[in-house]
Amino acid sequence: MPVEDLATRAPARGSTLTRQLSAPGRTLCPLPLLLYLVLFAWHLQVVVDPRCVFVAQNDLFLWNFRFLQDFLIVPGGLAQWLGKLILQASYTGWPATVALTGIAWLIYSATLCYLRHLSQAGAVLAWTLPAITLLSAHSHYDYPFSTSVGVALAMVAACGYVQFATGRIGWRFAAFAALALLLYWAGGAAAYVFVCCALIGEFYLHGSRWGVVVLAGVAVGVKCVVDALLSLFPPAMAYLYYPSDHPFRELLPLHAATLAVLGSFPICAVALADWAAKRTARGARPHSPGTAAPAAEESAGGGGNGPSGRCRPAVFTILFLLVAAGVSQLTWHRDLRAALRVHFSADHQQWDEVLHLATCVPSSAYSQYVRHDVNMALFHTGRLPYDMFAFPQESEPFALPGGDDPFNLYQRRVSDFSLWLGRVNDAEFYAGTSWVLKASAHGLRQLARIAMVKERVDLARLFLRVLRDDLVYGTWSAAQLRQLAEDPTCAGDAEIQTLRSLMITDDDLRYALPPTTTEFLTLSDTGQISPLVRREPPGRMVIEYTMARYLAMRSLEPVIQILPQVTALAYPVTPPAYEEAAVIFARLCGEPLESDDAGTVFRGFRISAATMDKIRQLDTILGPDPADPAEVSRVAGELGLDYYRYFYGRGVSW
Amino acid sequence: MTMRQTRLLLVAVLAAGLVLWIGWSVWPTAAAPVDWGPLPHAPHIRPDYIGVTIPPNIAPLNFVVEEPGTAYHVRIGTPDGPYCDVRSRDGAIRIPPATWKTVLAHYRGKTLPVEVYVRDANHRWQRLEPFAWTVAQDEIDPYLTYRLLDPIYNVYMHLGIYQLNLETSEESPVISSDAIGRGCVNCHTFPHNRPDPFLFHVRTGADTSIPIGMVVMRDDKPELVQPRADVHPGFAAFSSWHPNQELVAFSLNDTVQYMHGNTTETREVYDRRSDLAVVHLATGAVTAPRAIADPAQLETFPCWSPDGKYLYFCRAADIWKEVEPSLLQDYAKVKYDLVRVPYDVASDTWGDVEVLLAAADTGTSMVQPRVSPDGRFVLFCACDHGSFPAFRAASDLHMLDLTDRTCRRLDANSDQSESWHSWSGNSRWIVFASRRANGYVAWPYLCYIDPSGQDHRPLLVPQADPRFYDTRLKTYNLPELVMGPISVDHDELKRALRSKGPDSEPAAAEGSVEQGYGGGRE
Repeated sequence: MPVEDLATRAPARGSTLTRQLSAPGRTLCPLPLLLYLVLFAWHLQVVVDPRCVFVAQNDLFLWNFRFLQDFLIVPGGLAQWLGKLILQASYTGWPATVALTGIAWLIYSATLCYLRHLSQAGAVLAWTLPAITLLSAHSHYDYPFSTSVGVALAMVAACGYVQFATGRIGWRFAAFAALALLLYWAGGAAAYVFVCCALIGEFYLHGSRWGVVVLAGVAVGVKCVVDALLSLFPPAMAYLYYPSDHPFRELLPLHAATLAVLGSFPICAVALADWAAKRTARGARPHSPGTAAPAAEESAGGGGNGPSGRCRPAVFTILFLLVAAGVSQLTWHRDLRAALRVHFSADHQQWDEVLHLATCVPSSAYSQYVRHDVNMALFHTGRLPYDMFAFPQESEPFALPGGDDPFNLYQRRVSDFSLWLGRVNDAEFYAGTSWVLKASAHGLRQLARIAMVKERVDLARLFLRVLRDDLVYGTWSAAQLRQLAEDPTCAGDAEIQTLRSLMITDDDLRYALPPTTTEFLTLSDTGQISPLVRREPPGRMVIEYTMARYLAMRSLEPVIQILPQVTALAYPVTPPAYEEAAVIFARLCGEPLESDDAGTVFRGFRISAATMDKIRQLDTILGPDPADPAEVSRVAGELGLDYYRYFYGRGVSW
Repeated sequence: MTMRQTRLLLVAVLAAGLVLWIGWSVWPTAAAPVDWGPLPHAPHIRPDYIGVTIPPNIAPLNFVVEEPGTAYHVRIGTPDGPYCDVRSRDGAIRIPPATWKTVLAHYRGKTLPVEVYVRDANHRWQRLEPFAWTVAQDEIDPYLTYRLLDPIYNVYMHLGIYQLNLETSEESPVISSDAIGRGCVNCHTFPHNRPDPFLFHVRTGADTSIPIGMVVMRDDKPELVQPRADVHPGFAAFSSWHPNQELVAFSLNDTVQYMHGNTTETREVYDRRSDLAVVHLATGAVTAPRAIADPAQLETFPCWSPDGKYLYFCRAADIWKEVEPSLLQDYAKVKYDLVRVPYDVASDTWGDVEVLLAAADTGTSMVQPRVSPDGRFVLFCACDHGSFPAFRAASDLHMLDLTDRTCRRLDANSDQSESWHSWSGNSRWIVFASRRANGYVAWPYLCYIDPSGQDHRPLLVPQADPRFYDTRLKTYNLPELVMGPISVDHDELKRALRSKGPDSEPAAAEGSVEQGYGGGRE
């Protein structure tokens, strides 16, 4: 029986341990693993970009025991907590890469150790399956790091179990029960990886079928015990964070990658053990687990001592790395990464960076939130009227409710948008709702800012005290608390003062929800700026955003109505998009442009000579009666008439 | 290093740790400084417990000393009697519960002096001006039951009914929204502070198999009551037990929420329609006579008198007959009178409504009446308008003395909202939710009412962690004093709820979005 053959080859505990420790380089970091770790780190840092994971998952994490307590009352909570700690590290990028690479090293050292107990030959080959699966899983921006943490715990336990639990069956079962209990509490679903690996070991190393049944029963019992114990601490006791109270709840709705990571370890283990058993049955030369198998045999499951056999490890390593690199490229969500980088910069008000990164976002990932961030960046850099149409636009340039929002951006974006438009209560509503729906440090920071704007100092202190324990915004929060102690009115805070100056002066009541962004940016029946954002004089943002919206909608009548207010803003250089819109409108309506000594004027709005020159060039090229709007758009683009290009670029009849 | 040596080292490290821990634990109980200089001001402590009146059975009043220093020492009591010394390096004063109980027992009905010492950077001790706590003779009901939720607008995720043992500061959940598929739980009500029976309301969340209804817990067994009256399509909300424990008066509220564009408080909540009704628990029959369900009036917040002979409630003229625009214009005109109506339980007959306090006279809206268990006082909120004082910063607690019909504003009020008050069983303590700390989240305060009806300086409900409230983002809603603990078996509750089936249309969609009937709202 193959099973019995393997069982008889079970290593003596002392000798195995001695060999493991005496050859750490071989056991803990063979060359394929070392190279793989380098590739893994490169994949995380360069291909995935941990900062994008931070934006995508955007979770609350507080560095205090009270917050940790919330996680200790659910199975797998500790792994979740550690995963979220690593997520915080991903804010600065490389610390998360280092941590995750370290976890990968732990996983694969333990996995190799475990697999070598099943069979020296083929262990490294079998190890490649979970290695590549993990690499692939980390390409997903919603992949929870807690899965990797849990798997690391599980494989370390599995390695320890097959290495040390070799004595009497009672001791083995007791060790299994203890490890399963600890793992289920700490790692949640990852405990099943350990259980599967232990069952495989029991079957192939000890050849005990009934032992497998007993261990399976023990595993079920352990789960029931842990669940019963933890049910004494219901999630309702949570302080701020509510971890899912079922270990699978976090995993089931996820992509297959998470389940693939968990499944790959038992699959490769059972495949290896089965292969080794059959190989032994065919009469291949057996050798004890833990002993130094020929390198070629170890890496490829067989081989010899000739030149070709000696080359095989190198070939294998190269092939493996090529496959891993290929998987890295194939699973790379390049478009998503570009969009997430924009969101990351927008979250931190790095507006120039937003505009720079936005040029790299392909149309497939150019969501309404990218567009929103770009338009916010254009406003904050003073370029909205000038460069808006140098970036892709849709008929609604700002975020709207509904639609796909996988990263919970809507509430955050609209809160900030409302704050800058002076609708501070709406900003509070959206920030508060965002906090309730998904607690995040960013949301807490926004609530604190709003409280400062509204001069609710005690409330701001409350938010800031919570935020002080956040690893990302903790320093900012502590500085704000110090500032509030010295200057409770925030008179010295330029941003708060600006936001206060923008606050609307009239109250209004809305049923259930604040008005949407489209309502803010809609002219009243009399052609005035929306009363929802009314201030005297109207803020620059209100005018520019209202203009932007109507320009994007290709609705030129309201644009012309706002032009007098644009004049009042006294731009050093009149935005060409506004001028082009005026000319297009005049021509569509058949209204003549007036000329005077200083140039061209439409309804009192002066159009610069530079813009008129370009339009004349366009007229010259296209002739007096151009028929094809697409052609107009193309030529206008070549001449630098951005709004002409946009206006005629979408099938509008000439 | 051999295994034996490793074990020895481990044991040595553990032993050293144990010694250090014991040393650390012992250190705070060191004696008060002998050599000190005076500081001419009272200490700044958080929560501000200076001068408060406290129940003789309250948990330790742990607090934080907010004074610059390198060490802190607090002496509670005097060497003449039992006293308690607490020392701290960071200003967090955690009073040992056992010593605290002894001290409180000794000072019951007396003044308990408190001395705070601060050690400065030069290792010199300084004593701040001593202050005192007044320990009342009368105990408070040992349990506080409340709803805990985020300060929400129209969405909730996690909320629940919790209870706090006021004698030990131990909190435990009673029922959470997560246990019933993110449904809403609200309006827990007790008959005269007794923990059994009690009732609360459930609203449907993501799990649509959970119906809307009133859950009556009797002998730890839940029973679903669905009091759907034909009055209007609202659902049962604010309730009050008749002393015979067979009748429950409740309000039916069609509540709407509006959002302000430019005020400190963002939300404006009011009843578009509301009426009262009475459910007979034995039969499930619901009655809504005109006295309490007048179509021309908005009636809400029922409260039975302790003898069951009167039903106190609030009512305002129903001006919402018109369309939405008038609603927006006139919301501030709705002001509630405080009224009562006699009821004879034997003949099941109602008398004429008696106006106790008219909004036209007081200029305020008077809501949430709660009659003291001795029947002497009616405690209520008076605010500028509307029926949701929690959202009105102007809301203050007032007390009407039924013996002479005099009414006074409590000194315990602040410039922020006070609301959701209730009495202890002996009528000597009240608890209320106040936003005084930050104007945003409401926390529970205890206030002593002496036999003459005079209120004393209130105290924030103490917690084991002195810094508990520094980061408390949850709001305490409807705090109720109860004489004992309560429990709800979640599985039994779900069985009881599902036994009736989803009879009613869910009030909340997708488990969390609330747009009506006040569920998930403060």
